[in-house]
Amino acid sequence: MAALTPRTLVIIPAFNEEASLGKVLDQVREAVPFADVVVVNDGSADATPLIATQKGAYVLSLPYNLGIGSAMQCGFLFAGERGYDVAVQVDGDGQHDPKEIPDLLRTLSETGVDIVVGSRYIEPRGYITPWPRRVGIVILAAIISLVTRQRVTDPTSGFRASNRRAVAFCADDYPFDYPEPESVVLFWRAGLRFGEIPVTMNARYGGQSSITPLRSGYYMIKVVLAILIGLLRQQKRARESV
Amino acid sequence: MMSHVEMIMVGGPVALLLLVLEMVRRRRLREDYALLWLVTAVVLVVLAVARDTILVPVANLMGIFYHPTALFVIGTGFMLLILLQFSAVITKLTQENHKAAQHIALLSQRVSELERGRGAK
Repeated sequence: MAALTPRTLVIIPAFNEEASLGKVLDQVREAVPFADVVVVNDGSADATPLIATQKGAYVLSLPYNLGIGSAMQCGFLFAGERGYDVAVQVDGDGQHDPKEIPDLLRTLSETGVDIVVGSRYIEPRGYITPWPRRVGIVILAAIISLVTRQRVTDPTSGFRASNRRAVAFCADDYPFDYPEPESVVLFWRAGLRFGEIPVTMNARYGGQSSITPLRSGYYMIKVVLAILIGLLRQQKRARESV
Repeated sequence: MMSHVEMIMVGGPVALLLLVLEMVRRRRLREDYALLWLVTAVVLVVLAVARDTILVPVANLMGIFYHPTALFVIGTGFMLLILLQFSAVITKLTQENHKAAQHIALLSQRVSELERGRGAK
């Protein structure tokens, strides 16, 4: 029943990314010319929505900043509403290399998993993580690997491809803040299968990371708390794919 | 003759009760959010008025020798409940607010497509 080319949507959440967004959109178009692109403008005060429109992307402009989780969810709602087969999330800051989107797509269709995550840490590719962040990621990866009984190396990666089933699940239930690590656990609990492939990540082209040193502590506590308390929660299973 | 502390024990909750009722009457406070406030005020009034029959035995049960302190502790307990209710309500409002904002973004994209379509033809 699979179509020859799955209808693919690239979702780019962007909060004040005018410095990098144009370049990212060009690279996405070049890498996956068959895909539609939607930029979720999370209440930017700069030219982010203007650039997105000029580059021919769909633009979902949130009336004010909701945070990355709710912004991503808005993109998933869009994908679900319009019946895309696959949704790929790519950061607007240039951290992810759009040239690797086809790898995500290929893995998604060939392995039959529901979500493919691009990981920086499967093999060394010259990406240097500051050590405090690396420690945090290693701790999160250990907790999540333990919980899901599956090796997860880069739970904070927001470079992912999801099939219809995963899109429907995320449109319905996605963490509002710092969503990536928690969502991996949610996927596992919902009975969605996920896998990782190695990717190369760049230093961001411009803009600011949403995670400043001061917020890292809060990040860790919030995410670990969300994962552990989430385990006590009744979890809906994802609907079987149609 | 009532002592000062007893006047406060009775007068405070009575004033609170009247204020809450008046705010509900003027629709400045929704009935569902007023409920915990009303319970709090009524409990405190009853305890303060029925000092010898209820408050003092309750204070003794709690191991509190100075019975106005028991009133204080019970009042604090209700305040914590009310604060927790606030946090729950804020959580719900935030979720609904995010849903509404996402909906606005989806609709306005749809509207701009419709407008462009009409302009082109």
